[in-house]
Amino acid sequence: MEITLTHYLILAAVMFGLGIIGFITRRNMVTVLMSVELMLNAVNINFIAFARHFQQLSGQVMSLFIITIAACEAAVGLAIIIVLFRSRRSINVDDANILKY
Amino acid sequence: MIEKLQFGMSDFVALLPEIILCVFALLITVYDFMSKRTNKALISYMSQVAFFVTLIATFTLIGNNYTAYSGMFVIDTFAIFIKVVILLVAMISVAASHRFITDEGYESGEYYILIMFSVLGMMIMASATDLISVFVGLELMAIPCYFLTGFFKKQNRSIEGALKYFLMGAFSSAVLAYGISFVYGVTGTTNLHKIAEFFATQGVDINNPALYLVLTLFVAGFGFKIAAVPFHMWCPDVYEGAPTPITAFMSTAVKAASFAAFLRVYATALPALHINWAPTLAVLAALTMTIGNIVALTQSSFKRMLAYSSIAHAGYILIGLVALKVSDGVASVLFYLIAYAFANMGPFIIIILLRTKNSSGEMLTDLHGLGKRAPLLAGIMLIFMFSLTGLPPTGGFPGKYYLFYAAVQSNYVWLTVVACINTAISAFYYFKVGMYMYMHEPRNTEELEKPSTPVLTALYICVGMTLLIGIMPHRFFEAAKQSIMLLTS
Amino acid sequence: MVLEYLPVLILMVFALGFAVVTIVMSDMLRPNKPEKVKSSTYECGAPLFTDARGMVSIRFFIISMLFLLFDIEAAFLYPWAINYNVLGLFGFVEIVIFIIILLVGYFYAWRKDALEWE
Repeated sequence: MEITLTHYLILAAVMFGLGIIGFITRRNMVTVLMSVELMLNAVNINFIAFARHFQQLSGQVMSLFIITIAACEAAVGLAIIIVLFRSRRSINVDDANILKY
Repeated sequence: MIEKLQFGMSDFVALLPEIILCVFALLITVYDFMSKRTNKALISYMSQVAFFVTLIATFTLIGNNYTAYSGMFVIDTFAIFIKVVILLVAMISVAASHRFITDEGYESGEYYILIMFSVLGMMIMASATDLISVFVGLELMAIPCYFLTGFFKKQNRSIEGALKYFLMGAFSSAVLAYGISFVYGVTGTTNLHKIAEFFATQGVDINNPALYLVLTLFVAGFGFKIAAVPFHMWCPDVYEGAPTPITAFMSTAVKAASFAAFLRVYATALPALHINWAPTLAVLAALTMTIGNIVALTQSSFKRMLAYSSIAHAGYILIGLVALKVSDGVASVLFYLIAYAFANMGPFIIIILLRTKNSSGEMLTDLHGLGKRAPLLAGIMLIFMFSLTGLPPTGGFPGKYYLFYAAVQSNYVWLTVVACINTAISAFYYFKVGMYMYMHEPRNTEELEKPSTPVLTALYICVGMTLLIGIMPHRFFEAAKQSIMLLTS
Repeated sequence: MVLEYLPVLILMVFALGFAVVTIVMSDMLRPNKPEKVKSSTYECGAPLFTDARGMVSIRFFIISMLFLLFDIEAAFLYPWAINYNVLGLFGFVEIVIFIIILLVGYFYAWRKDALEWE
């Protein structure tokens, strides 16, 4: 069986879906952050697969940018986790509940 | 196949304002960390100078229309219009932050540097004609904003706002990126003009599910950024938690830049699919303004009320996107953005001025009897409320008029009716502010601090522009109209 | 198509078989005299102090944050390095500007004592 574009797209879709599920259901801030990273990596797989399909380089360039942006977001996320932990002694998303209607 | 990239002087000229701002931001960063006892007030003035020089550089580019960097970046009047609005808003925000940051005990240079980098991202977004540059600009805009929201790191609500903003922002970026990957998959390019060319030559395959996926993901991704219902949940929390000048900055500049990118992507790349996405956006617009306005009615915090009101205004602006095909649709969006920017900055500046020792100035009760405590401020506030409602002689009136007219022209009469009803609903809570100011006795009789010159200047510019746009709307509308000539061609 | 992957399968079988055979054989042949230290998780001379799933100092987060940023930015150097001959002096100048921008960030972190452990 040949590995075609469709297989990569399905893999990416599954990863993206897992990321969304993790983002919604998990309560630990670090796990939520990892879920977002999973989603961005699914996007990368999509880009690389399409780039290979079209025999182009531009998709790979895009994924390079997305990798960088994902790293920046992870760094920002870690920074916010640190500040949150220092003030709240917890990194549970549910504990952030002061701002309400 | 490798295309050799060509770079010339014209590329650098197109990017000149951004380069200037970036160099200034880096130099100020170096100045800030060189000595541990730098003068932070000086950094505020230095950033004003940086914005001013960038503004001049942007003005000198008026009249240029070309793409640079192999079609990734464009310099046209639309981009210049948006950049001027963003730079003015940034200058007003920095002026409004004067003493505020120090008074709250967070004196630091990073505050201004982060604003500068965020503005840099917005300027890139305004000029981006490739989905890569749109995405990179978007992140460059958003990431400093996460930090700025959580800047008061000893205040729990500030950190919490930053947390929510970050989570939602990262999520929506991932969704948008997934959408971009499918655009690339369908068309084989990320350049907006080439995407349009693809749809023009190949035709639109309406049975292709990937297209619908793209449209859905784009609406979700951009919807989060502009806080359209049902992607608005983060917005009130973030706007309430963030430092007030940053709230003012985010509710205007971030919105303007996001709408600019939204517009350019839809107007340039996807006009062939207009029939597919316009009805969705129309429903979204109706929902956004209705929910924004109705929830705003029930708020007790003024800052939070303004957050919901800004959601409602995003709904009005979405009308212009729906009416993209009519000649003045896009121009009405630009006009509304500029009218809204000044009218929305104003109330936040007044919140800053209302701070006293015992109150934050953010609650509606703090406005009680303002007509007696500070007649001038109350009068100015009334003008802003008029403009946000959409009453003459302020900028909000022609803004709404042009938008609603564009909607009628494009046969969305029901949307116009919904928008008119919403304007009536919004009048309730905007006038409530006037009622509190003039018909209630002051609860808090503390003497207001004497406002500093930069903050007052910012306030006067806002009120002046709001009135000016209201009195001579044609000038501004003509400018907006000229700026979009090349957007859709 | 599938046949092309046959060498991989053979390699996998060999690798797995070698590991299984060595473990099983050594288990059968060696004398078995367990004692407390010998059967501890890391039998390497150093006694264990705590469970491995303990809390980690928050300082590691700061270091990892900085590492993440500077590590990933280096990814942009690879495309430039590969195309060095094509891009020439122009590319070199651009990459120097890029490094300078990174350096500003690095010195910023340094001056703010983000690299200090205490």
